[in-house]
Amino acid sequence: MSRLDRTRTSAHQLRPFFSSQNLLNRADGSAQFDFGESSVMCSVVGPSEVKLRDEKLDKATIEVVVRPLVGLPGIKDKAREQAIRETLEPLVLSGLHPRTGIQIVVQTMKDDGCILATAFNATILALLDAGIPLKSILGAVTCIVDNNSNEILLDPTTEELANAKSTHTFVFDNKSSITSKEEQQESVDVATLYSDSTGLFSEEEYFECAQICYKAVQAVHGFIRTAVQKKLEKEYQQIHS
Amino acid sequence: MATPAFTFTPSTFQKLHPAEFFRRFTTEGVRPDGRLLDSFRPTTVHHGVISTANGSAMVRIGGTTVVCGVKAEVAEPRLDAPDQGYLVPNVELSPMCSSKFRPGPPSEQAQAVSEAINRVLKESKVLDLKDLCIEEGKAVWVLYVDAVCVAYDGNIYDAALAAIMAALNNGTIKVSGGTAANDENSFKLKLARTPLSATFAIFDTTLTILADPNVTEETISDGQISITLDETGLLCGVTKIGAASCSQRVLKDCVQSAKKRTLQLRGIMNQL
Amino acid sequence: MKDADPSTNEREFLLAALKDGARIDGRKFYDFRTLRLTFGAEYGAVEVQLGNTRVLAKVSCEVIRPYTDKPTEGFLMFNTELSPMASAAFEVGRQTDEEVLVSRLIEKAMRRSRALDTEGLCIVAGEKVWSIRVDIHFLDHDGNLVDAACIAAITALLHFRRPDVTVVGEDHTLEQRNPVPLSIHHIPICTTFAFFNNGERMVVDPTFLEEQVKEGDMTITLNVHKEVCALSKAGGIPMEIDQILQCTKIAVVKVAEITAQIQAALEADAKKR
Repeated sequence: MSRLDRTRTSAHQLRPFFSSQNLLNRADGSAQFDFGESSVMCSVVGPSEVKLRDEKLDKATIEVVVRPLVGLPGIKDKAREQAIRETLEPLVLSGLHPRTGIQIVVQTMKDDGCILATAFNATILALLDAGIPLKSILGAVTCIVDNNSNEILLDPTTEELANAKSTHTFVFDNKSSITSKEEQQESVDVATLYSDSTGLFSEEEYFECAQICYKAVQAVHGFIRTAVQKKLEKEYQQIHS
Repeated sequence: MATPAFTFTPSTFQKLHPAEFFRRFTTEGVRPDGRLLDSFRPTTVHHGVISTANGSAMVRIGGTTVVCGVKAEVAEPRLDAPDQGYLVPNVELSPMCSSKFRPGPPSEQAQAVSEAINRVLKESKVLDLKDLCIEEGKAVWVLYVDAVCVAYDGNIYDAALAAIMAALNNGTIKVSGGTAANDENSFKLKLARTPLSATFAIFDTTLTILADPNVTEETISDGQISITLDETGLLCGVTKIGAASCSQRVLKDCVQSAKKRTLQLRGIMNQL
Repeated sequence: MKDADPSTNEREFLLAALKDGARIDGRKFYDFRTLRLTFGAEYGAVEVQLGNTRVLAKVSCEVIRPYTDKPTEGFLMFNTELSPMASAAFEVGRQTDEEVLVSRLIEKAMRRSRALDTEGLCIVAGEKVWSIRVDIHFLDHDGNLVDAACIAAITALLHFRRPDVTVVGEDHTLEQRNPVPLSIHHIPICTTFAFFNNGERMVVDPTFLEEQVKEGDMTITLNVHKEVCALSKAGGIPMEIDQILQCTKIAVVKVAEITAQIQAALEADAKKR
């Protein structure tokens, strides 16, 4: 079966990933993450001074700002800010930096669907780049159930999203990494960190989507790991050359 | 004889260590307000509470009360959708309902709940916007659906969605005067489905699942799961947010529990 | 969080270097930093890098009703909200003086100079016109946001293609064809000068550090036909008339260079498609 974007041949194929870190000179950490023609830039400033009103005595205050590509920020962006903040807050070891603030700014650069998932991946890379201590990393993927074929399509484009019966975004952390034994099994009892589904769908469809996304996220985790490894190797070489 | 250095009254203990206080209850399978872990608070639905609105309802889930009114106005349609009306849901969390909220622009929570409900109404195609067309390209109905929280004690999403659905269900648009041939006629809104939800809080690393959290439970919980279902048992939305990651088994239990709860809620809603 | 002022050492070093005829990044006084233009797969999106300053411009369009007193005129709107991504000193929802200044300058340079033919955006007089929206996102602030934003905005407008619509019969049915470019009259380019040492020393395209130390600045907007579109000098030290003329002469050269670079980038991108 060929996909609408004509570059992919399978329903369970992700678009090519791309990422780069440390792009911005004013922010403490920054990263860009792309899923095909969807791209999100994220910057991190902190731990730094925080407004007295937001100060927390025992941990760092995390602020997330989501900015759309077109137009002024609306309630959709506010909802995304809440989703990203509440998912990342427990991942950051914020107790190490009490009475400080960590500001995360998420900017859509190109929109071809799956912006929330792209934003999650960009954010975790930016936090890693800023050297913010984390408990684990996360990876995010979106899938849809197609209206005509009832097939589950991973990482849909805008064109494919227009024909979706339901849309599902999942975030998984890398604490319970998949084992080779599990990989052969049909279903794994996966631990979901964030899940957001809309549209009309059955219970079976929801859990099948979770399974497929969980397997796909392993590739994202691997990619983030490699990206960080490469960056560290480069930094090490620069220091010792 | 060893005596403890000092002792607390239960209310002091609750203030100092809210999470530990709470854990002592949940390990015994009950909650401080006397509910079992999987029980929802008493719920009531009143229809037509605002006589000046086109449709209205009041929903009470325990200490949380939401009043919703639907107001229909005539507007020009968008140029790219000349035969479609507008459905504008909004949830208001004013300082009146809890000291948690400050006056001024809507809080992040209010915006997030509004957006979640907006998406459910849109994505699960509750109302055909073409039904709101009066004359293509000229005039359409715009439905303002305002849900105002009067008292806040947690689980605003369930209460607001139930109030909005109840208000839309008894919503009647009156067409009077104007171009219509018969001077006074009215039509009821045709809803394709009535999505209702059940929310659960995830507490502790022991992964205790609490149905219908109140405000204290919300503040000490480590995450929330909201499941939205229509009358046929089809899912209209699943949201899981927060620190605790939850397994598929837990989610499956929640879906089952949500099915029972929304059925019960539908029963309450249909009693007139 | 406010930007920290540069240390006395940094300031003294920068001023001493300028006195000796050097800028600390090694540029000559009247040199722009390296300009890089990157296009996406979509029409109307361009990322501009001017040294370390980074700006993204995205053009979008929609069909709306015109004002009743100007039934044949389309709309051109700019959104130049300063994002906290560019600098932590920019707060969400609070407009700084810098933001007002930047948005006014862009407005003057692009809209008031009539760079875009807004009459050409009319579909049906009095009923349907195109509204063109330019969202300018500031990603990284290393000085001279105005020039970078101006280059980004005009390049994105030149790159943009809107859907072509034709009116069929009296029903005003819109029929879609291949997208068409906007009609742009001329290419306004901003050149910003910063002044030091009682106005005796001036530099083009100041960096963030130079902006912090400067005594005054001036932005001249010109097109390649040597027409001045806007000139802005808001405060700072007073200047001689001769010096303004000298600035204009320098700007003419800079504008020609930048315009050539924009056109070369657009041509290279067109070949790839």
